[in-house]
Amino acid sequence: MSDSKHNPEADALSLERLASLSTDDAIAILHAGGRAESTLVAAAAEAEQLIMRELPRGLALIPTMIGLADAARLSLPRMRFRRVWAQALCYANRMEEALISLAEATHIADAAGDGLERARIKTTSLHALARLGRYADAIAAGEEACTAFEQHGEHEMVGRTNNNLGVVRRMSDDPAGALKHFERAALFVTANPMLAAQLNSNRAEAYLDLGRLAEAEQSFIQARDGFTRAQMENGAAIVEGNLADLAARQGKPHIALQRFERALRALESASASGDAARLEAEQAEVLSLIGLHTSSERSLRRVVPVLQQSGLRWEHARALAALGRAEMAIGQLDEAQSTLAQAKDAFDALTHATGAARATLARAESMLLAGDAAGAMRAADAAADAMRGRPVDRARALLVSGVAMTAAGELSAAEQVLSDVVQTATSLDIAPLLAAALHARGRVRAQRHDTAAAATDLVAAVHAAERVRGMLQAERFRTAALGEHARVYEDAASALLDRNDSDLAPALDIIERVKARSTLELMSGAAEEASPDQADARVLADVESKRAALNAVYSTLDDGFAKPRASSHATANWSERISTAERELEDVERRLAASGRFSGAFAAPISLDAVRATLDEGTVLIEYFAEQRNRAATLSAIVIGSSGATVRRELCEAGALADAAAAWRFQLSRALARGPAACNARVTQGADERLEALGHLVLAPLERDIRDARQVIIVPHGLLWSLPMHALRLNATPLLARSAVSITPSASIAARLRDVAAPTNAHAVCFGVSDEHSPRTEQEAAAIAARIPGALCKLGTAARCDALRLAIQGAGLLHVAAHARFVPAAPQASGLRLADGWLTAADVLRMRLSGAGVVLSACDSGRSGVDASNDLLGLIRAFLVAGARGVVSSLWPLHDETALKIMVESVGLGYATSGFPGVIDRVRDAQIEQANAGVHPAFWAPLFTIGVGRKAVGS
Amino acid sequence: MASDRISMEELIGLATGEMSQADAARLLTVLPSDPGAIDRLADVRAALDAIRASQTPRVELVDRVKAWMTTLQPASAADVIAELLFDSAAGPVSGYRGALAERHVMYRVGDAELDLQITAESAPEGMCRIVGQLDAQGPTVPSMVELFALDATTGSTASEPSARAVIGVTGGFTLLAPAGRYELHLSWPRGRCVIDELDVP
Repeated sequence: MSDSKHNPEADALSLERLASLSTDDAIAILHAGGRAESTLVAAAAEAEQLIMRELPRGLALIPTMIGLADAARLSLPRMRFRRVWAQALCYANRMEEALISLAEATHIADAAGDGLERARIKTTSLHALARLGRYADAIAAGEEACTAFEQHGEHEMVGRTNNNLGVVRRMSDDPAGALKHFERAALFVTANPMLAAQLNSNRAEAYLDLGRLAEAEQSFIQARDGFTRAQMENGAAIVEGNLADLAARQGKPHIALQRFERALRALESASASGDAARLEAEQAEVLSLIGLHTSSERSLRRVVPVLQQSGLRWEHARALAALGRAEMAIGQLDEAQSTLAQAKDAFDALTHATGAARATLARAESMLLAGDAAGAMRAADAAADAMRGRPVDRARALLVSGVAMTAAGELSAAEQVLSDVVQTATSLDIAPLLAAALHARGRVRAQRHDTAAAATDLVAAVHAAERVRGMLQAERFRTAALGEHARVYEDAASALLDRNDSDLAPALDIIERVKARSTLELMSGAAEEASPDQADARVLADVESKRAALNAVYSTLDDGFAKPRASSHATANWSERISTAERELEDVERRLAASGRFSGAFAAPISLDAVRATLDEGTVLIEYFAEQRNRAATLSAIVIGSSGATVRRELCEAGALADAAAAWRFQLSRALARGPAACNARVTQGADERLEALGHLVLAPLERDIRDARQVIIVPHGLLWSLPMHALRLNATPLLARSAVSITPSASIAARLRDVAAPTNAHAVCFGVSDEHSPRTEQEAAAIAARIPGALCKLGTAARCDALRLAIQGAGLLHVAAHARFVPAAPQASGLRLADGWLTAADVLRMRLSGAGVVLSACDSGRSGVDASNDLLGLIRAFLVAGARGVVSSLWPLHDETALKIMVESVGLGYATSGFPGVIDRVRDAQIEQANAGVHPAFWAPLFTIGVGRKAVGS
Repeated sequence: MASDRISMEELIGLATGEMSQADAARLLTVLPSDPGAIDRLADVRAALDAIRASQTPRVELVDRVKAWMTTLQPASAADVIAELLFDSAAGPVSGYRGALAERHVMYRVGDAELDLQITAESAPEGMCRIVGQLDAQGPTVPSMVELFALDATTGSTASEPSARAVIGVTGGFTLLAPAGRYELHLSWPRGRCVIDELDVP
């Protein structure tokens, strides 16, 4: 249209103008101008542009133009307008009509003997034929067109048609054949950067179908860069979104989120609201994947109407389904059911039966959560019926149906259905489904009091879950996977204890597998965050690549809601692909383990006998764990001493513990608001009562087990990580006044820390950074350094992050007195504020401490996020992974003046006389002194210890 | 109610022990001649016992105490000024090596201190939990706490409370409210206090 501004004659005969005239008038004007054919051909080109911009307008105008071209009896315009009309009909999803128009165009071309135009028509027909599933016809048409283009020297058209043929091959479940066409197309499109970029994007999709992830990523990157060079920012952003999707499939959600963010920014700046909304919806699904359901729900709620307005119907249906699942995850069950019903309608309107059935299945799950077992059963059965011919999907639907039957009390029928699912999952070799089905059947059998069979099923479920966990890519993602299956482990441990509560070894083995497992692996030298030697680096990279490949194969299980990828090719050879990938991964992991340095990275947790062997006489280890008893979450504990072990079940319900913890937090907050001087006896009494109430719940039932203990090592569970376990009261006495108390993320980690040797001839490092709110920190660091011969002290502006990294090499003690923060939404961003910025948990993970004891005299330094797999996220974990032998840190804001009082003598003299164990002993002594003096626990109890003192072990 | 010779306020004062010995003695001499007052005193005592037995009074108790409050003579209730002593949202808290994890505000209300902790933790989606404690040496039970939404545009106060609770014998209470700006009304038999512009994030 822009040309018309410069050419009044052309403007007069533009597409719109011609279509507005009567046929007779138009013919008269065209012939009078003597340029009838060129004018109509130009109008056809204009129509081709129009249908991409305004399809309804194009659909309205083109039939008139076909009539005009016919009346003018000009072959080329007659063919061109019919071809454009067919394109428009394809866009409008009217494929059969498109083919009729193309058949007419072909007939005209043949009559005119125009081989080149016939080839163009054949190329256009590929789209309609492929969409109708007539792949062989489409390929034949494309091949014919290619030959004609080659004969006429139309090289770019050879490239375009091969590109289209590749797409058709992918749709016909032949990605390898597609790649051949893409390779051929690449020879002819070098002069057209936009086409080359499009080709690379298609090629990447074919690689994805074949599971060749590295090549897919490479091709996507080439496509993105090509679009950028061609100044097609939208195209580049969309490919960036594909890269993000690929990263998500490989279990790299952090990379996926970064790429989505980049793509979104580009699309938003280009005002491409539909594409931006599509990407934001995909990004939201990744947010859900990593457990950020609320963020995901918020994001999806925003983009669903945009997708609808943009006419992106598939994406709209998919986003509705994702929104429903996010609502379900955050407990908005009524909304979830309504949204999922809308998703089903949207998929129905697209005649996408699988999508509709999956939405129905998700709705069944939300009904189940809402307690409507009968409704859930009906919906799940309907989904299963609709999934006939798709064994994996059907088995998933039956799984939900079986769980609903269990909830409805139909145990016999449930067991039968779930047995069928177990059989399907076993024959298809789908570990996640097998874990879920065995878990569900085990719970049914437990309800039927068949404890032996229940335990067998649940232990087998754990093995299946472990298999999935071992296959997932990134450490963070592995944790998420474990979280999903945490209930499997809990139920398995319960079942083993129900079967035989005198043999605790099997139950402890299971419980330890869901206690800070990733932390243990990272401490042992895991692939992702350790600094490998060069020799190991290549093998580690191989492990990473193989895990990514396996993860991507598993991700195809969810393809019902994901992008409509080419075909079922990825799942067709499922079993073969899985076993090959697993075998390859096992081989390379074995090589890694053989290198020695990373042997612990994939090691199993410690056994009961090994735990007992690490405990000195007078030391008791309490391992808390969760159980579902009578449909309520409860807390239980295994208590292990050097001479035996016992289990104490159902100490308290989770709800009661949460209430008591909230009441304690309020008392804590009251005290911190007042400060130590203004905390009168009533305020202190209020806090003591809350600590006594908590002690009553979690310690009193174990009193006879810990009565004579000199040392109590506690493995907290969930909420217990936020409580000062050492300050909980029993009979009006804080626990630490009865026994030394050490906290540990797991028994396995406690054993590992015990083996960490103190560095010899090590120096102490003291850092202090003061400000107007905490003026004592530098004084504290300097006073401690003055009490330790040879200590390195950095204060104020000298206390920089790089100085700390340097100073810590070979140190035996690191003491940091500074501000700190805990970031609940991103615990890895939690950190210590040094002179030049935050030393974050992520930074600490990259440090190597060689067995130093660490004292973090800073607010919230001991707070951790605890995920569903009971793994810690935050500074403590970072220091343990970096090689600390123990950590003293603070659970809440540390009072500047009180910290100075406790720390100077405890750390300075404790370390100078007895090393880090001496520090631990003296911190405890100082805390007891403060408690005895009636100081509010808000000021002495925040400090807790990971690691063991000297007195506790009788040294 | 207006025809009653013994007022509700006097009955509450008698039941809670807030009344002077002389006034109590006088009241006890006239009580037998007012059967309606005897019934109402029994009602007050039963409600007080229930409140003392539970940290989270039942809804009907809250309503009953609310009804008592409306019977009190407004002129007899003294207005008390609330003085803000601490707000963790005002910036870094001096004397600590970091910030408080949850919002905490503290007021002086007459001779008592009122603590409020505002947290989204363990609150239903989209809501905040306001946990409060009125110092036990302050106004005696029964006391009522109500949260009135403030209109963001006009600044006017809603006529009906968004949440309300009776303050139990321990001085503790809990309110649930969506994010917004509120007035917090605290009332007890012989006094009342309004805390304006309480932001619930």
